[in-house]
Amino acid sequence: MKLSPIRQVETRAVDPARDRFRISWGRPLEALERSLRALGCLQPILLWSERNPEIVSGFRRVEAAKRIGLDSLPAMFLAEEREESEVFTLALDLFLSTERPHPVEQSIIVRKLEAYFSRDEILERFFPRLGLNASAVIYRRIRAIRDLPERAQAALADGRLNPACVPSLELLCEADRRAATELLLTLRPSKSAQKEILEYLHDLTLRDGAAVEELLKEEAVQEILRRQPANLPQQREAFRQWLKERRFPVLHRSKRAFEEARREWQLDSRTRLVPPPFYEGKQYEIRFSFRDPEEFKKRLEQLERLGRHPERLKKLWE
Amino acid sequence: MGIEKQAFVRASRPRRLFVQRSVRTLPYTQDLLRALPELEAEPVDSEAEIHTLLDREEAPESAGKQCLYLARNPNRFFKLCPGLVPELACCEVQVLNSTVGCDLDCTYCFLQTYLPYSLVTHFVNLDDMLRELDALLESRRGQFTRVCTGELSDSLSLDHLVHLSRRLVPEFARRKRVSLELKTKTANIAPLERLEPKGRVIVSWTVNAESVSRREELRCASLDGRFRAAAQAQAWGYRIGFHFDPIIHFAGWEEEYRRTVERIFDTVRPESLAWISLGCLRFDPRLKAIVQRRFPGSRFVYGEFIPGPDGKMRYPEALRVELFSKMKEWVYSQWQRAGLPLERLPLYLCMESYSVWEKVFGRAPRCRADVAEALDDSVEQNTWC
Repeated sequence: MKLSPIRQVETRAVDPARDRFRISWGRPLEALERSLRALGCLQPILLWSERNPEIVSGFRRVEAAKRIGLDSLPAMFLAEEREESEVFTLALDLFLSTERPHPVEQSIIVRKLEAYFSRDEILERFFPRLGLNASAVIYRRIRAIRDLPERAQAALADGRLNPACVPSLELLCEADRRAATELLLTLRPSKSAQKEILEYLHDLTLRDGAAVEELLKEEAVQEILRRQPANLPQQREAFRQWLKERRFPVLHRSKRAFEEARREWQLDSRTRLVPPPFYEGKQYEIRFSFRDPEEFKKRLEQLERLGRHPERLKKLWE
Repeated sequence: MGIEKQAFVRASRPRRLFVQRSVRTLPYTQDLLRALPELEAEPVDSEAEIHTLLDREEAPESAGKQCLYLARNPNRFFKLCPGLVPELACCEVQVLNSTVGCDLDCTYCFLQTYLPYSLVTHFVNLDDMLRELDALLESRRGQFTRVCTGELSDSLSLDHLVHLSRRLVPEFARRKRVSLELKTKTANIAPLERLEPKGRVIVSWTVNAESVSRREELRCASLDGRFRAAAQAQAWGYRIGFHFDPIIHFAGWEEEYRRTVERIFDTVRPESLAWISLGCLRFDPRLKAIVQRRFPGSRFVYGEFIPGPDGKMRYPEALRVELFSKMKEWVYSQWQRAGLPLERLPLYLCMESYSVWEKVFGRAPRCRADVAEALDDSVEQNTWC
């Protein structure tokens, strides 16, 4: 491969906005700026070609250099006669040799490769390099990431948003995607909870025909979101609870009926009545704890007293 | 063939044909290749080669359904119905898997999560299958044995090409204390004509509410077509079964399901009914994402579901009891209108908990064998010879 010797180029002579070979997206520059200040640029940037230099590798170095006022950077030039597709493939390999692309970068790679290669070629030649299964379904999903709201992409890039949320976000319309993204960025739930929240919201939009934005404007939700942000865990939990009740009304009714019946039993705080999973079936459990024979006796007496009130007992199975 | 009979011939054909190299020279394989002269058979050593090809498809499952793979069954042909967990009452039927995969395309079909790429595989080592049948019946000597196909495929959708009924129906008709159930959502019954089932073969149709059938059961016969086929199969001497599976909850479900129940009794003589089963929608949790991708207009996955003891998603018990109880009432009312005693009504719940049985029928089977016995009786009492 023909390369020029290393030489200094003026930073103003290279423009990172000409980005057809750019892959990196949303990565912070601060650490790079610090290292440039301390040591200068240790690795030359790669440009194509001498006549009209365009960055192939080194976008972030050029951006950081401009931000800290570095006048020049070491650079090497690729020979002009190369094919554009070859130059992009080279840019990709250089990127992959030092970085692991996050989901947004994967999406950028797929879309840029489409300018030069067929879908099947991309699947066969490039997906293994990206560590992805050569599946058309995964291809479509990755490609769609660039259509998500900017804030969602930024959250995917820095790890705040679970990549497993992408299919759920994709199912929502533009406005719902934005509303759902803002909700997740406000409540900051765990990654598995993010997926659950998006799934339930989407289900409700289709089942009840309500937009996410409308759902989130409901007074009950607004009341939760108005609470002090200092109580974020409680806020999160309250919202998830509301969402579950809304998503599973029949189950919620069974739960309420069980709780009413349990109150009728008037058990002390050390005795627990446990319903069957999801209130399915007729088998319940009583669990109690005790610290000495006296307490054990008390618990048994309590249950014995309860046995004398069949009408209270029956409520559980009604 | 007249217009009426034409309605019972299915035109569906695969678009791509794969043949496992090791079975290519079997006479049955050669018959099948002759039945599909428009397709060039692509030789492969294993299913994995086909999966690699399907992986590149935009809609791999849809492409897989249009492929037919002729192969040797490396496993057993007969398996006890996978009732899966002891908490659920099961009919304990012996399932014959001669074809795995289905060219019909029901949105709710569990095969989408069960079979990679929904590839349709037809096993051609039929001699092994018949030997296994002999061994099975020998091991169950003295017991009634119900066998069904159509667990991992539709029993009749490809029968105009593979002609399996031509082999199976006479095989069961000549034996005692056995029955064969062919389950379908097609009207492809022409291959069944003149096979003389002698009361030992039940053709059963999976039916649904009219709108569910139209919206969710793609490439299947219309409900009308299924009922017409049922009437014809009854006239040819087959016993008839109906499966409401999956029952789906939607606004207006009562009216539509009640109407389908009535149509059963308008179509067949109640005394020739082998059974009616009721099963609520249940599915592997992974199905939801597949349905969202393949059938974005489908809405059934947005119902209220909870994980059951077998890991499948189901409606909460309260809702299942409501659905089953209403269905039971409608079936009871039709049965009694025909002047038949309720104790002879072969109505059962499919893969349901004992608790739901009790809430719906007022009593639960004591064990799985109870359900099986009731169904055995239903077939045996009506066997003609």
